[in-house]
Parts: sequence; C-alpha cells; structure tokens
Amino acid sequence: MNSQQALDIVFDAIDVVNRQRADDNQISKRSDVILIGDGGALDSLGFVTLILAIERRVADVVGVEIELLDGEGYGVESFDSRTASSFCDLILARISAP
Amino acid sequence: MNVFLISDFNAEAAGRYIGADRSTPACDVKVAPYGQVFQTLASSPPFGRDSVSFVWTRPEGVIREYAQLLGGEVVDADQMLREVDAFAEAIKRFARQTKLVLVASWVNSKNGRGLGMLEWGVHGRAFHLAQMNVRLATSLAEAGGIYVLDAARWIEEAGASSRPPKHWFAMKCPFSEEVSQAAARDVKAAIRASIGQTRKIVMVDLDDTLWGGIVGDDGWQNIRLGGHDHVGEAYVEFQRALKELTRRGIQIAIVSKNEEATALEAIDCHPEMVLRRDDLAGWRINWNDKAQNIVDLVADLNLGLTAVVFIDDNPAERARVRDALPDVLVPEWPKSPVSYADALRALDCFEQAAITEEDRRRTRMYVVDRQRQEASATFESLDEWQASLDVRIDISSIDESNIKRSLQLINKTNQMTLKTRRVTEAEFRSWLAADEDRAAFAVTVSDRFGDLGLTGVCSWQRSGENLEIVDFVLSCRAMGRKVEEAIVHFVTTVAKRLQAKVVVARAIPTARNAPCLAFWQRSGFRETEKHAFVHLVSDGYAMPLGITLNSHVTADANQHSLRDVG
Repeated sequence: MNSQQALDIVFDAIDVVNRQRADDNQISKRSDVILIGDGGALDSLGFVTLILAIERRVADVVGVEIELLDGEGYGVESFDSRTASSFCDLILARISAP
Repeated sequence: MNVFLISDFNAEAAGRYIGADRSTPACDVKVAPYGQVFQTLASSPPFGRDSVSFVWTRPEGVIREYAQLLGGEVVDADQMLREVDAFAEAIKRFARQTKLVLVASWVNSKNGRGLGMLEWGVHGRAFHLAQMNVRLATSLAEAGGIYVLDAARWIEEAGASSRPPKHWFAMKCPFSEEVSQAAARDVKAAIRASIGQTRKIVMVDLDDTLWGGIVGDDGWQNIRLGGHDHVGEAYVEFQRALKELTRRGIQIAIVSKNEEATALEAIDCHPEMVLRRDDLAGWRINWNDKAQNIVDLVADLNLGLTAVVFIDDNPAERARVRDALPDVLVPEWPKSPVSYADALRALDCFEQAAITEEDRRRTRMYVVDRQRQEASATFESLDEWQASLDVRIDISSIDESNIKRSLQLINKTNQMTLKTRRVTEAEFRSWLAADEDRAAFAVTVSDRFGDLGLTGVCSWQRSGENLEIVDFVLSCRAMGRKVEEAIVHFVTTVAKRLQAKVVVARAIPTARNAPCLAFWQRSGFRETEKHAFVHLVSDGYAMPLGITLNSHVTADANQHSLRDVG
C-alpha cells in the first residue's frame, strides 16, 4: 500500500464520520486537516468511529487486520497522530509491522 | 422536531445520524446517559410533550432473566415475561408525557450460534427473544402513540458486519454504523408519518419500467412480462409490489410517453398484467413533458406534489422531473428490473401511523370518481350534475370505531382544513375529555356511484354564546360537492339546539389551505376580522339542495359519547 491509498482510506473513514454530522459541520478531506487535539474536528465518539472505520477499510482493501491503537486504549489524549496525513503514516507503519 | 433517545448502550451514533439526516423534519436530538433506561423512563422527557422519544435497548440490558439466559443459566420463562410487562408499563407511563414513542424491537446483540439446533427449544435465546418481542409489541399496542420499529431489518440491511465486537469493546455500542444509520432512517420515517408527511401516490412509467420493451414498437403481445423469463418475472413482481401499496391506501398512476390507446390495450389485454385499469387512480399517457403531466394529474386527483413519488427507468426523465418539480420524490432507480420490486419496497416514504378501511378502499374510490367525472360531462350545468349525484351524508360522533380514520384525516389533510391541526390520538382524546363543551364528529359521504367513506371531521368548542369550530376538515375526494355547506348546516342546527347564538370559524392560512379559506369567504358567514368568520344562529343556514343528511347524534347524546371517547 502506498501513501495515496492510505490517504484514500482515511478519507473514506472521514465520510463515515461525516454522515453523522450536519451539512454545515462536515470535516474536509484534506491531508492537513486536523482531526484531533487542539483545533481538531473530532470528539471522542467521532475519534473512535474514525479509528474503527479506518481499521475496517484496511481489512476490506488489503485484507490485513490492524490495530491503530494497539496498547493505547481508545482515548484521544494518548494518541499522537493529529492530521489525516499522520493517520496515513500510522496505517502504513501498522501494515508493515512484523 | 425534538427527539430524545433512551438506551442501555451507547446509542450516540444513532442520535447523530437522526440529527444529521437531511430529510424533513429537521431534528434536534438529545441522548440520555446510557444504561439508565428505567430511571430515565421514570422521569420527565427533557423536551416536553411535543417531542418524540426513541427507546432502543438490548434485551439483556433491561430484562434480567434474559441476561441470565445468555449466561447459560436455566431461567423462569414466566418471570421473563413479567419483566417484559414491567418494561412495557414503564414505556407507557413515559409515553403519556410525550407526543410519540418509538421502541426498537429486541434483536440478538451478540454473534454466534447460541444453542445451535436447540436455539428454538425452550432454553434457546431465539425462542425467548421471539416470545418477548411479541409480548412487548402486544402490550404497547394497547396504548396510543407508541410504535414498535423492526430492528431485525436494520441488522439485515447492515449485512454480515452488523455487530462488530470491537464496537462493543471500544464504545459500548453493539451495532455497526450501518445499523445505527438504518435505525435513524426508520425513526425519521416514523416521525414524518406521525405528522402526515406521507407520500400518497406512485406515478410510474410504462416501457421498461412496468414491463420490458416498447409497447408501441413491439405490440402488447411481445412485451416482456411474466412468461418463462426471469426478466419478465421481475416485472410481474414489481407490479405485485405496486399492488401491495394500493392495499395500504397508496395510489398508483401512469405517466408515460406512449399512444394512450396502445398502452391501455396492453394494460387491459396482457394476460400477465397484475395492475389493471381499475387499480389506477389515473393516467397521463401522451407525448407531453412528463413534469407537466404530473402537475396535471395531481390537480385532477386533488393531491399536492409533495404526495408524489415518480418512478422511471430513464435517468433523463428522472432528472427532468427532479429539476422541474423538487417537491416530487424521484428515487434513483436500479438498472436491472430484477431489483425493481426490492427498490420499491425499500422506500421509506409510505410510512403510516394506521391503515384504515378507507385506505384499503381508496383505489376503488378513485376509480368511482373517474366514472363520476366521465358522467359529469353529460350534464350541462354543475348544479344539474350535483343534483344527479344523490349525495348522502352521515354524521356521527367520533368513537372507537372511527377515531383512527378521523385522526388520519385531520393529520393528512392540507387543503380543506381550517387550522391544519396536527394531533396524536392521545392528544385528541385528552383534548376532548378536558372540556364537556367540546364535541367532534365524523362525516361519511356516499353518492349513486359509490361510497367515499369517512371523508370529513368537524369539531367545536362551545364557550358562552359562541360555538367555535375547531376542526373543519374535508378530504379532497369530497370537496366541491356542497358537502362543506351541509356540514355548516349541521353545525348551525346543533348550535341552535345548544342555545348558542353565534357560530365562529377562525381559519389559520397556510401555503396549501387556500381552498378552505375560499370556501369560508363565500360561505355566507361574515368575515368580522381577518380570517375570522361569524354567523348568527338565528339566521339559520340552508341545507344545499339535492343532498340527504343523516345525523346520528343529538346534542345531548353527543356530549355523553364524546366523554366516553375521551
């Protein structure tokens, strides 16, 4: 999987989250969009929804089951990735992990 | 519309889908803290009486005996049902404080085979779940304003991944986003039905929609319909799905670019047609613009464009109608006819709070009306035609036998309605019961062509010397036949018996009830202030000629009957 494919997966997951949001509150699908932390678009439910949607999409697309939050619980506060692009890096790292 | 969501699990996602859903009405959603179902049901809803509540629980979250069953214990089936009764009672008590309560039926929230071949034995969860659901639905059906939604369909729609274990472990929601989304769609559909926003007619194309092929080119003998052909079978199934709708009171009409005689010959003669001319409320079969044909047909049938669903296999025709008539619902349509019936049955715009005898007979009423209109062409004047109809009107108190249809009429009528009041059955009952000077009547109309059914409702509030009309509602089927005047005659006659001196009608104008306002402006009542019409009882009010009025109520008897209803 390359970076663009990973970004597409993050955008698909943003679509899932956006379906729970009003038209005037949609998260834009840009690589630098801040998803969590200061200025982030997601609350805790949105964050978990995004993570689970990414994991499901990765399993569908590449047939690999990954745990983005392996060992870190599901709290926003313990998560380093903030932007869509940093989520891509995490996806690629998890997929290539032994 | 305000929606309050009560659940034993984290149903926040469903709440967000309801809030984000673009269909009308827009909803503001509040989700109760999860896991506190009985405490929440014992308290007051945060939005007050005019709100909707949605109760979505896992059976093991509210029925302790069932939770023990899931744990492999031997349980007391009677105790389990007693717990279901207690849950139902809690919902019914809560429902008295809110407009509408929607309750999700219980589904299995865990994956796995359970007891396998013993699942439907006396220790199986499938067996007990079915019993509990029937008990819950039966108990809740006794109360007005509570509807059980079929959660099993949400699971089906979501497919194999409807219960991802990670959702439960990560956010205490046993269901996937797809399940929550399907639940939200059903909640919105039920809310729309409760406020009368239901589509009433499907206008459907013919060639490659109702049958395969082009009847004008191929001849009716060669269109694809039934036969030993899976595509032909699919068209028959689509027609069956349309016919099912007519039995719920949804009408079917044809809008097609064709030669009318050729198309009607196919409808009349093809041996495998399911829909015949008598199943159709009307048709526009010609070479004109379909959008214009829809407008004309809607006017003929006395419906609004918001009542219409338009189905056509041709994307260009769909785009044209969508563009020209934004109030018409034009669903995207599958390419393969094999999927047509499923696509129709999946539409959530036909939801109804009740299905009445009038609904089941509505197509027949439209057919009779067509015959009536055809007959009218033979008369020289409207009065002559009116007199020939031999209109008979029966007016009786609203009671248990007619309250559902009366409420349906109040809530669905947009044109001949004085105040466009929207009210649940419980609210209407309590409105009547609250004051013995209130009364409500159902109006049934028939003529020499047939029975139009319960087509009118009238209610009033008497205060001092005034008798003020509250509901003055008449179905479009009965409009313009002097039934309006006959009802006013009845009201004035009863007002005299009640020793009232003045009859008052205050209209609340909307974008769609102009016909009602126009009636009152020509009614002979005096418009003393804007949209307020008054009439002295001592002046009497003439009964229109050629109409027979049977009143099954006296003033006194009526008051007693209405107290019983309340």
